Amino acid sequence: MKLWRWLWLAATLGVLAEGFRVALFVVPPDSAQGDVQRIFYYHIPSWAGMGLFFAINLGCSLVYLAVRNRDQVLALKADALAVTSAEVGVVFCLIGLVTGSLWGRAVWGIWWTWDARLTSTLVLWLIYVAYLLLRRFAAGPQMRTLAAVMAIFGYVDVPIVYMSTRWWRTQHPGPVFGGAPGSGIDPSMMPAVWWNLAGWLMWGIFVASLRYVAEYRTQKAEQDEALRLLDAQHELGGVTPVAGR
Amino acid sequence: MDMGHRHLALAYGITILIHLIYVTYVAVRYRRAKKLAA
Repeated sequence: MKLWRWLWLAATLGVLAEGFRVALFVVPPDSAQGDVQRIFYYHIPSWAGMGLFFAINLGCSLVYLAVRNRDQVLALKADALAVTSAEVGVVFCLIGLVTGSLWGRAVWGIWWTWDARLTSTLVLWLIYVAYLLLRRFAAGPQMRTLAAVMAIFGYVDVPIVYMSTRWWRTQHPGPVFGGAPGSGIDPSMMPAVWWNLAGWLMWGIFVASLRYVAEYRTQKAEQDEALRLLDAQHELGGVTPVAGR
Repeated sequence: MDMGHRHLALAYGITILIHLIYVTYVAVRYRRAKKLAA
């Protein structure tokens, strides 16, 4: 692992440790919910991470579709970053669902309800799990193109999730940030939000950078191996056209 | 420990656990890819 990654990891762990300390021992408890409200400081960064990485997945999928016939190297990089960001986004989304469920059980008395925010988020998670399964199990040259198209359609659910608490008033509370007048949290609680937001996003970037290198190297090695086999076939004069291509 | 504190501990614990599981998977993929490229 390169030096900058070790330095980034050290900084990330420092920020996360400070975020943990501030969230649990520094900021005051919520006047209505008590200490269980501190789940918020891990819940919100998960959604921020999910939003960031699914947006990267969308961007990379668009780039892949735009350049796949013109620039093979850029297309390969965009595709590797697309699968990487989808994976990291799915992890953040899963954590958001689990921490939300635990919080809901403590505050509402229920683990789950089919309200607009929860249902649209579960659908979003399932869409990206399906995207990863498609990439894992589908074979053939069209797999990457299909996955990129699926990612674009899948992203449509992201603004629906974001707007769900504004469009429909169901079980989930309204938006804390950028919501109705009087929404938001007390300024004394904001340090816990900022430290954990920064820490978990830095962590996501660190993991994604490692996963990207792994994915790109694997895809490059597979591509090189396929080209080597094709060259060997040419040399033997045994090339046969593939049906339907 | 009351239910609120138990759920708070679970939420933080599960968050860290899921991230640790995923980063372990990524580390395995990274090492495998490094060997493949070598």
